[in-house]
Amino acid sequence: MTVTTGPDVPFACQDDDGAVSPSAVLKRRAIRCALSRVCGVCGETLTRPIAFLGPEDEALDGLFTFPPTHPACARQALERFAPLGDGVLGQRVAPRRWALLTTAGFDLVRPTRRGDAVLFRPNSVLETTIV
Amino acid sequence: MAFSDVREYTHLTDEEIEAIGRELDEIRAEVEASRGQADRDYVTRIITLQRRLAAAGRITLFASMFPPAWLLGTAMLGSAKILENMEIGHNTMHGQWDWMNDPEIHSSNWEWDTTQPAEQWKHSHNYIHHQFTNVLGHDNDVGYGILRMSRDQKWTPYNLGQPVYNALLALFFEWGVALHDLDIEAIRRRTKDPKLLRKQLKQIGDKVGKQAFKDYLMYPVLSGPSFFHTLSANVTANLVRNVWSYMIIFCGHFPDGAVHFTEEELEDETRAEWYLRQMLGSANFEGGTFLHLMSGQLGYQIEHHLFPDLPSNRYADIAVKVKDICRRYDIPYTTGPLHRQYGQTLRTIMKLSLPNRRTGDNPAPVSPRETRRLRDEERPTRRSELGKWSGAASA
Repeated sequence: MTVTTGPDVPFACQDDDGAVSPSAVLKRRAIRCALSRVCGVCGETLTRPIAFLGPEDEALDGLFTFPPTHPACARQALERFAPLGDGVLGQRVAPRRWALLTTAGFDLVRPTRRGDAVLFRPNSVLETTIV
Repeated sequence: MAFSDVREYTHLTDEEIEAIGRELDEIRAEVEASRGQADRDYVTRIITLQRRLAAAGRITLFASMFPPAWLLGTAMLGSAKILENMEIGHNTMHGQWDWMNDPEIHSSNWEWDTTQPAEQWKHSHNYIHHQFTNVLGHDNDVGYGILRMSRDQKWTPYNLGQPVYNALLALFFEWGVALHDLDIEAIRRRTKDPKLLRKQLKQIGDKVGKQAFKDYLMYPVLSGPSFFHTLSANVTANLVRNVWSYMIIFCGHFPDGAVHFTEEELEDETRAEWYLRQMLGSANFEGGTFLHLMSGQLGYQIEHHLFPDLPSNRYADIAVKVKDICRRYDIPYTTGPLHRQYGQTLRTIMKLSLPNRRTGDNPAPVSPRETRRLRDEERPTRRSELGKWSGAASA
């Protein structure tokens, strides 16, 4: 689902031209979050520790679709968006359970095939919470 | 030229490109799996050394009215600034040490000893330069918006002054970097969002104020009767750091052999293609351990561009493997002594101050469709988005 307007859409789901797509993380924004080291929710500079949020499976695999965030932004985003169900925080389908993970660092994993998304691999996990 | 037209690349099959990607992935995985206490010891040792050098330099300059003290203090302070900017600050802000979970040595906390705010550097360098390496119209590091560095860039009479602009850029490099993220072109065209500009300028102003207070007021005042000597020493230390940083950075992408690219499908390139673009667009220089340390390991620019977030102390080992990959796949691995690399860069700056028809090595004619220089209106605008700011400004 892609809409052109919408309130409080995470930074990583907005394009530079103003288009928003809550159900998908925009690749250019994801790369920008990773390299500029800004939060995928609010767009401000990251702080330590760094948080990742996503389906429980992503936490178990250690690979996240949604870019790094501030821990507070991750918690607020979950409170705000998770109850909405499908199509939020870059997830087409609402996960059964969300995970919130904190880490000191992460690696940007570029896709090996054209068209695939970039992913994020926390490299020094501090805590994982299943919500 | 576009990536798909690069001669050094076109002999590779898709399978070979993927194989190169896998080999580089393995190098990365090996380093990730083995980073630990030895790396932690390395960076803490360098930071301790840098702080001791800075402190010794500042203390020595209290007696800077005596020429030997001025000379020694300036040398120590200049070296400390170079170490802090190149080996510590630059690499820390890439996230090379984030994995340590150190409260201070972390990309989100480090604020370096130069006039550009760390936040703006992380955008202009980590994102714009490292993502769009050597892509004309995207990578603002290609000539820093001041110099014409590629024959594909349009020549104007303004470029005749390149030798002068280059000298000024070297001397005042810190200030050029401070303004690097402002997008001077947009300001000149009056398309820059004034709110965004004010926000950036305030951030730069705050940082400049802190730097100027420290170097040009506080320490000179603390020197008492050596006020003016300490002031001149601090100015000199900053100038030395500027010229050194400029030279190292320019040697990373402008010696002969480093390829510039034009428009291409940047966002949809695969990891292996991204690796190749980084390898072809970067250039190393050779030297001993001390030279590499004082260069922030940017003598291993190719390895840095392949793995910008791996610890810098690993680049020397990685370089051996990368060089072997390049040899086996017949990919250029651009390197040479520092003086040669800088000489080539300087020659390029001088040559490109003239229009292409005035210089002798025009490329052999090829199909215009493949490599014609795009008209300016066909070029993308420079990358100007700025994290939250651009979003906030456009909201």
